Amino acid sequence: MSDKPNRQPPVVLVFAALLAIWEIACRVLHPSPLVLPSPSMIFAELIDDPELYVGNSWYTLSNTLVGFMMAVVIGVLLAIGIVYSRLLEVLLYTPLVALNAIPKIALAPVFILWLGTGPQSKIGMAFLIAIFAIVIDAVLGLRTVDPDMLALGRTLKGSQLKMLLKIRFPGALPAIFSGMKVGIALSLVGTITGEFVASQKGLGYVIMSSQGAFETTRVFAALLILSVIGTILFYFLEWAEHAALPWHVSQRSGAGGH
Amino acid sequence: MSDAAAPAHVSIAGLSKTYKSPRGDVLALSTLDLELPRGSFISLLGPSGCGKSTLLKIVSGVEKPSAGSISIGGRAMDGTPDGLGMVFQRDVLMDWRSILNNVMLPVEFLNLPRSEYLPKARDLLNLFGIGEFADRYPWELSGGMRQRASICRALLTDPQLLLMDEPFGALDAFTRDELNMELQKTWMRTRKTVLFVTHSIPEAILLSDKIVVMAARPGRVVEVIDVDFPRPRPLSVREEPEFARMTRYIREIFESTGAFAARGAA
Repeated sequence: MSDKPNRQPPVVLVFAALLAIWEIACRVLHPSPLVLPSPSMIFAELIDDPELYVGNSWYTLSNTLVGFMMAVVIGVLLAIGIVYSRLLEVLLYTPLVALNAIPKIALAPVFILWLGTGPQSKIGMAFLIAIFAIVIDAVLGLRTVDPDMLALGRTLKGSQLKMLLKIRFPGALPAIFSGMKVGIALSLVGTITGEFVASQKGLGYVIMSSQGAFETTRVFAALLILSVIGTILFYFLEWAEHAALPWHVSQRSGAGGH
Repeated sequence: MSDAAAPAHVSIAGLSKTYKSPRGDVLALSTLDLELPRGSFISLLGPSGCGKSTLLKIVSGVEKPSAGSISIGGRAMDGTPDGLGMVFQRDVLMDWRSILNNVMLPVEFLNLPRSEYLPKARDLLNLFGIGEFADRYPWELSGGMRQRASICRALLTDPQLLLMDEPFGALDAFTRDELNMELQKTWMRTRKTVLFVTHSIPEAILLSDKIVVMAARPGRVVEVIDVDFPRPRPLSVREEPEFARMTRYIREIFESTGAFAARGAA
């Protein structure tokens, strides 16, 4: 609880410090703007055409979030199925692990073929790339339940549903959150990859089209926005974890480990 | 004592338990007969591997016996019995619930009216001296306070049979003494039938009406010893010559059954 207020400022400060170093380096070393534009040039570019960046950022962000949320809901449901059913474990878990070994970026062209060049294929990529991390962590969390807790539930004649909702699921939440934190970053990767392959919109499209026109400043402007979006999403999940699991985070910071 | 006249609350007849394992079957518990008179405090005392925890799991319905039968209150046991309280060696409190909500867990599982049990839960917590921690989370409490909360949880629905699996084994000596006294007080007030697993000889003598002395490989009952110290027993009962004599007697049983040698070798 007490470490939250002094946790947020450093992120912004570190960001500002990095930009300052970058700016100074550009002013001193004068690299060609085609290779490395300075932060002031990037900000000027951002202010110059705000509509371009706001619209495309929103497109990328919304596709990422929709794909990610689908991955969370479906991933957790799949994990519950896998933990409770030997059949589903055989049918889903092993193939999922095997499928996870494929570089999922290589699947982007397939998604374009199946779902078209619109938002659906980007959402599909964001979903697919994040769901593995979520399923695997959720299965782990649901499985590592304290056997004495289940024995306690059984002596209290608890139904399977009660055991799931009151024992297994709350106990698995820390693992699910850690899967989500990995998954949210991956979702953004998935969306951008989809946009690289085929799109007329989004930050990935801005990067690809600007690169083709040697507009390096634009590429960097889009990269800067992506890094801000990714950071905000990650810290939003940290905050949500803090709010949802005060018992776990506090215990962790108290114990110092893990 | 008049225990012999009281009807048995729990009767265990010809019970055995075999675990299958790839390296052959393991006999965890060989033919065991035991009567628990209603309202008595019975300890299962023995080294690791003597089957005392296995017996507790079978009585709680968590595991099934390989042979034999148990009847509770005159009725053959079928699954988890009604009116059962369980205390584990670790407190098994749920980190995500406040102490009060941990104690209230049985109410949620057994679909009992929350409003009726909420004051009971608070009373129990007060009785065990942790009332002011009702809204705290388990990690904010010491081991002794956590185990007190888990005993409150087991007592909340007023079960007639209390199963305790080495409940104080993980606590320091001072806390253990303190909780032994609190348990005795609670038991004298409520007169529940208690089946208490321990591997501490003094703890068993201090608390029990009867001590079931067990041995390992295979798990079996060696002797049942009546303990007749008047109650309430103060901690100083441990300094009485009779207490020392009994401790020595039980230790000699363990020596003759090879309990110490086996544990040293293992």
